[in-house]
Amino acid sequence: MDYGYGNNYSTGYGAQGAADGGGFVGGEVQSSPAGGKGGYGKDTVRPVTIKQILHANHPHPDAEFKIDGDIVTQLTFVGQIRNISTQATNITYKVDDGTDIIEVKQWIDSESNQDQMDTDSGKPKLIEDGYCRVWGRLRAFHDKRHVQAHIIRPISDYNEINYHLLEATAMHLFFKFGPPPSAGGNDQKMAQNGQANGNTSVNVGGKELPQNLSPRAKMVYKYLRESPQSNEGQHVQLIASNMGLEVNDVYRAAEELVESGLTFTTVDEHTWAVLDY
Amino acid sequence: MSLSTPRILPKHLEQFGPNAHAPVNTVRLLGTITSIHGSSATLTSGDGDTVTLVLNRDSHLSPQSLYEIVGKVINLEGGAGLGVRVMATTEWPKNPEGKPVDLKVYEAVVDATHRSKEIFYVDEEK
Repeated sequence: MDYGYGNNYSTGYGAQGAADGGGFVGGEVQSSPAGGKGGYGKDTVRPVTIKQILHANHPHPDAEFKIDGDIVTQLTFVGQIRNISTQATNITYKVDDGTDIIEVKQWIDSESNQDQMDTDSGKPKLIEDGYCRVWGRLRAFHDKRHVQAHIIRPISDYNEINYHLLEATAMHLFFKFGPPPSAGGNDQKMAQNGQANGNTSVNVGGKELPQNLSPRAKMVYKYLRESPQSNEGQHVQLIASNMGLEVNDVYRAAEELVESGLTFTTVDEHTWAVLDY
Repeated sequence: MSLSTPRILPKHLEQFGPNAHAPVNTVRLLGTITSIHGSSATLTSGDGDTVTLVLNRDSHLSPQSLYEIVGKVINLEGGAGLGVRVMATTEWPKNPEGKPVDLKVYEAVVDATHRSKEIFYVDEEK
């Protein structure tokens, strides 16, 4: 059951709220017509290992967590419960997935608890040493990290454990090396290059892309290069709809590309063309 | 301090043994218990390799069932090679449809664990 509480806990909320109050907003959020207020576009669930959670980059308390350079708010993982302690306001589980251990807290909602009592009596329960799947949000309190769980449920098909670890690896490799090779020539070259050199240098249309570009920026660059266009370039909405990306993601990718000198804005701040020289 | 217990197959024991300079020597194994003799048992992995388990008093294993073992890689007494001293066991039951867990998928997980160590058990090389 979702009571909409999750939204209030958004880390993005805090960060952007502060920016609004300061009266200085970096174009991205404000000018994005479809972006919404809280940046929900980037509120996607990422499968991770606990080691990744504990090593997530968090430069200062108001900053967003980043894993492999990509912002994470919602995450999911599978692990074994080592300890359950019930407190007045929450239940704290110590969860171990073989890569590390983290605390998972779930707030006790007295009303919904009663519902669960009635309906869940026959189902498997969360027990110590049992495996569970967690969906939640990463929080930091002082220097300690924990996960605020939206849902935590016991595992009934143990294949899910191995499946999750493979999924987390696949996502890690995606953010590290970019999308997997496909039949298209350039993609193939991209992946081979990445693997052979152990880096993500990419050759698109005869030009070497900087290694520190995010996979998404590379995809946007490739798209801009390969799609027919006038010298006015393409508007953010058009790129987003043609690539099936969120508008906010396109803004971020475009910002990276402009900073790297690969593209430039044309008729307005939301339209970019490839810089050829 | 690292609390990781990397998933391995019997053929990887050497790399996590007391003589190897492994980052950790507490490991996880998934396999079927094929025999039990007093305080030791044999675990057979999906690829047919076996490993000798040194049991503790709390381990209650039932033969022919699938278990995940957390334990420390040790030299067996009497120079019998490497084995695992059991710290914890978890039975992996069949799924709700009555099918056993797919051990091929576990082998893929072991492969991924060692190829992408940085998200499983060693600190990222900077």
